[in-house]
Amino acid sequence: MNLLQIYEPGQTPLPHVDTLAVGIDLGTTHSVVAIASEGGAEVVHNIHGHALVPSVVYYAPDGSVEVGYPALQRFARGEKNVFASIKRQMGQSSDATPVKVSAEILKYLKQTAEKALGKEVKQAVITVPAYFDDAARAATKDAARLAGLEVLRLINEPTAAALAYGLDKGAQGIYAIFDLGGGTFDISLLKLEQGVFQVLATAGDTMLGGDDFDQAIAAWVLGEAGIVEEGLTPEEVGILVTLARTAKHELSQQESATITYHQHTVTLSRDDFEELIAPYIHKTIEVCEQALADAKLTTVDVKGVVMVGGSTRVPMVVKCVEELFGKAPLTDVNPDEVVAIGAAIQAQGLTQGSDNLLLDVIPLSLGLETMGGIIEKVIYRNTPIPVSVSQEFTTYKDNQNGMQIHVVQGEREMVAHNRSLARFDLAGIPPLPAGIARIAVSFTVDADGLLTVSAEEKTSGVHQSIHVKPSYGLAPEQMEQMLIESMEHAKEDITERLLIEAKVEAQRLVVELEAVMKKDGDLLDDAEKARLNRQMAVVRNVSQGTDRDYIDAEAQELGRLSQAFAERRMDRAIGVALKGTHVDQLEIKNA
Amino acid sequence: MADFLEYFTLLDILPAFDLDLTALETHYFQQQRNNHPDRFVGKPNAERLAALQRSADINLAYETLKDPLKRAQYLLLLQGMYVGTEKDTVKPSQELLAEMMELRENIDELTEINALYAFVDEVDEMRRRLLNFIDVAYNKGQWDKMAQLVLKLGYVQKAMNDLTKQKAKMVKAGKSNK
Repeated sequence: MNLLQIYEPGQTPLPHVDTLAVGIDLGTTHSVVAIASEGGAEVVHNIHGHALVPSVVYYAPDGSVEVGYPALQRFARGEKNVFASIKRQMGQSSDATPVKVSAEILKYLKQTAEKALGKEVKQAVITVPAYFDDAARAATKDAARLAGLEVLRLINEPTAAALAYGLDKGAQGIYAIFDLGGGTFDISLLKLEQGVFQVLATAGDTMLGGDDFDQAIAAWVLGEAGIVEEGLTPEEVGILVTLARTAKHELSQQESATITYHQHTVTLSRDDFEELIAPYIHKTIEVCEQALADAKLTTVDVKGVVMVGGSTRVPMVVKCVEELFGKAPLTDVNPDEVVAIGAAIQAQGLTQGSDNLLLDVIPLSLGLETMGGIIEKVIYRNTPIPVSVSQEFTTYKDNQNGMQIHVVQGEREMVAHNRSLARFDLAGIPPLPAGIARIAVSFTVDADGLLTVSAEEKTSGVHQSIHVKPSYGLAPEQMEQMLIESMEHAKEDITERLLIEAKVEAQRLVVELEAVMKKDGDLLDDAEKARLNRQMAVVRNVSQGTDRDYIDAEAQELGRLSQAFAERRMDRAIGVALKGTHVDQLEIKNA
Repeated sequence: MADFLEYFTLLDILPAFDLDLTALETHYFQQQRNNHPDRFVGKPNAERLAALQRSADINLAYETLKDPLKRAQYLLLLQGMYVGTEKDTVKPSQELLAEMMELRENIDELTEINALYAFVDEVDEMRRRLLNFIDVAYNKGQWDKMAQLVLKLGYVQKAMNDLTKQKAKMVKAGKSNK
């Protein structure tokens, strides 16, 4: 996340004639680069004639790097130091991180385009899954920087697809873009009207895609063959997954597929395959319903559904989408290339000027932590971007010169269930009685979907800007870690992470509450104190265990029990200074 | 951000409660065409920052004015009256509270889907009439009256949301019975 700095310094003010701006679809299973000119947009083929470059990177022992098909072949042979899908680390290597792996892929695409076009490529529009949060977007920008590319704009994959489709077919009206890739799923609803591409709502799942289908087939094969997965080496798993993917592709054309693995030959029928993947497809349908509800639309309002992403070739996906929307999906675009084409059109528009206008939204709500780990939303999901919202805070102690602000992104009620974006200290507040200082904190989400936070103390006469010091979230390795986490596939890893977060959160809650009870304990009667102490003991106890739901429930209960206490403390702090003015009246919010 | 953004000026339209939404959207698109950060790529930093803020303000203006409830609340805000926010300065009258309580009771008693559909139509009609009354009050500058009507619109819209949820629940239950 970039704090107090929205744009990169040193950007060239005007595009050079001898350099080009390309569009890049940095996908989880494969990536594509495209270029647009007055004659139209087209994908760029590499020297082997491929437009689709597998998002696979191999790090050789001598330090050299291979990207694309050669690396994919190594992966299929089960070699080490091969990174596929950037989301999942297949091999073992200490210095390959998602940002670096992504940077290698971007570098390769840049060189491919330069070779094919005979000009230098310095700028790019890069697409990201619409449902990517702030951390993942920032990491994508970092990867581009490492690859020597200036990012003109990050745009959402479905929006890019809509741009390419809308311009190509002259589409007008409300369209749904159903984008099921290898690792992510997005649905965006857009209004297309005379060069305006307005996103009405977007929803998705960054952990749902065709890779899940491969995994499901692989697990089925093991079950049929009576092989225990724990006994397999990572290499053997790699080979199995590759076989499963081949079978998946065959099942889009044929009624059955045969897989031979470890002397076992099994045949998977399309019916059985569909049963295996049904839970994933139902999930996509539920997400579609949520997007429709958010946009206050029904399926009748949707004029057409454009299918994007390789996984929309699976017949059952097409069937279920048709059932939901009551119309046959539009499959007359190349689902692998349309996103890159849209990005290229946007790159051309941004550098050469264009009448097209992309109006996008923020996919996930932004909020602030309040006492008890509860989130107060500042910007709701599906709010059009750019957006700038200002929230006022005040001090609760005399001469308080700092306060902590914790920004999170997500839809859940509790901090522990959402992504923590930044925790920072507001310092340098002038010495004033409690409740007098007025600190306006502005949250600005730019057109890339990236958040910037700034703060200002605006008490009458004391205009002074306050330094926002991020306490974490900016170090590259932490960003990389966040990217890994945001893209992590294995369910048990997520469960584990959530458990740790829940524990930390529960313990933090207890520690904080203890501290304030020591200070303002007089606001509680004995019964209340006893109740809080009892619940704190419960939370401390359950947070030693491994049942996350249990921990969350008890922590939430503690938050609920301490709510009245928090309010009383707030009232006291402000009451002293403002003679009974309620805290809400201090906030300025543009409703 | 200014405390009172001039939403109507930002969208280049005359202040009114009764707005032509199609025209509003056309103006919105036009203002974004001129001010969106995409139009300022490659320009000096200061210009781009200014465009970002303007574009964000235009978005906020459109989000507020396109929704009748938010628009009415904003028009009252321009009169210094806070309605329907956490810092309400206008309180609902006793009659309004009683009426709305009755509305809620009626909703809670709905158990049958056809009755619910009929009730949805009724509430929808109530909402449409309210919008007309608000427009009249606005044009006559009857702010206190308008504030009560806007409070009522808030309740009615909330009731409508609850009805929609209840409808979805009933439809789902009906499906699983079959």
